[in-house]
Amino acid sequence: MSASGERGFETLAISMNSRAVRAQGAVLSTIVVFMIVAAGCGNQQDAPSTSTGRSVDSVKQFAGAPSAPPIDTTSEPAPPLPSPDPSVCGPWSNATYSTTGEEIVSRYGEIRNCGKVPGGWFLATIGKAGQPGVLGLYYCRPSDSTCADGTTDHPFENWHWLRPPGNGGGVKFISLQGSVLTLYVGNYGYVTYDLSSGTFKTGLQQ
Amino acid sequence: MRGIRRKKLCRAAVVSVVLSSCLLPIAGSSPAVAQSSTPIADFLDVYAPSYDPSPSGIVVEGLSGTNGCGYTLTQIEDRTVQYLNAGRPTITEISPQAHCTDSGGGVHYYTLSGYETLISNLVSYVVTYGSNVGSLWGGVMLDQEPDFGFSASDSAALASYTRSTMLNTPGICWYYTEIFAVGQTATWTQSQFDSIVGSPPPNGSWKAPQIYTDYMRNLTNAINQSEILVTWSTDAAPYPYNSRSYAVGSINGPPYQQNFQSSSTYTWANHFN
Repeated sequence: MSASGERGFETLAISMNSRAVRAQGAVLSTIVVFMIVAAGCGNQQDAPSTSTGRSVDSVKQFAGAPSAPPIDTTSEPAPPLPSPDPSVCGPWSNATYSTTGEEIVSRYGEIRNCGKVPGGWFLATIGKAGQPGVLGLYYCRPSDSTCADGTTDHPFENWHWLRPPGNGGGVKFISLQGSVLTLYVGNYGYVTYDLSSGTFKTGLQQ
Repeated sequence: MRGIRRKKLCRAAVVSVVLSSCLLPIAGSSPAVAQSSTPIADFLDVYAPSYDPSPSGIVVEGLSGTNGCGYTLTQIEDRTVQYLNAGRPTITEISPQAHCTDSGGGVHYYTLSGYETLISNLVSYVVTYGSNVGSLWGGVMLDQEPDFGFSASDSAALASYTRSTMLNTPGICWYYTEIFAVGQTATWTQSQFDSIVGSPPPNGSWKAPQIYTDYMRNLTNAINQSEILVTWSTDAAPYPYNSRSYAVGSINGPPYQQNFQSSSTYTWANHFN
């Protein structure tokens, strides 16, 4: 409540020219705020509890959407690049940040997914016009700590590229359970790839 | 003249204070600036066959929700109700697909009206059997993508249908668009993207775009939307979007805010892994 009050006073200060008017407005505003508190308006911040039942629930609630001010779309946010993380795919999985990524995208289309799997790494690509997406696998020897480190480059020539069944569209990662990758192949359906046996199966394995 | 001006200013002051006292606490979000504030909590996508009530919030990942090609509607309904009955903030996700191939190689085709029926049944079941639906169930999340086989206009029509359905639900229940606009068969333009996600609620969806690529970031930042539920992934997105801070920090405006049953303010991102 106090934060809101402060915001209200800030708004007030901008719209008033003289100190007298500001002071008068502040007194009036304080009275209004107290009236609002007394009326329970401030309590609306509390989420409905389990005891409120359907009588409260029956009113649709959109937290703040209608009153939010317009967004400044003229500035593109540019957050700092993430700190190196050995457990996830590094710059080699992006065409903007590496020649490896550039070559992958050039050959197989935009990289939709990238991640670690038992014994290596995987990529799923969207494909290109007239060319379905692929599953890329990069195998690491058990003792190869450099390969297991996502921050090191994983050169294009060491990747293995597999075309899932269906000759469909883009390939999308769904899940990894044990050694089984579940993928969605565009305009075809779900497929699984067993990393230990190297085989695809159609359908969703539950 | 000065007196009249002073009266007007005082009236403006009252309006300002009333608005800031009543509306902002409900909104709970700071005025939009160029960068998002960092969401304090994450929904975690959990596949319908699994049960994990430990995350702050759960997205029940239902995939297509069709018999033979995904988790069944019954699985999705029951899991959603189970989370709600356990008092967890919950959203239920469906990925409408035009066709798929089952484990026996059989091909199944699905229509838009079939998904409308599915969504209607899902909503009806959850509202009937879930506990505290109006304060715990965020509603239906639609994962819509060009490679799922429905056109942009079909996808917009299904989103619109979902909105109509959710209008009749209690409290906070609404719908989300977890859109990804790039596919091998098509890539949706800004206008197609806009038509699917719609205006800010209550006229359109809560936007939950998959921020994995520059294109998705740019589409999202170009829409007129007050709050965004950024869908991000550490283990499945390419660099640098496989960092939560990067994905969230790439998006303009405040994060999606919903307190569910808490008396504290909660802002959210959506974690897919």
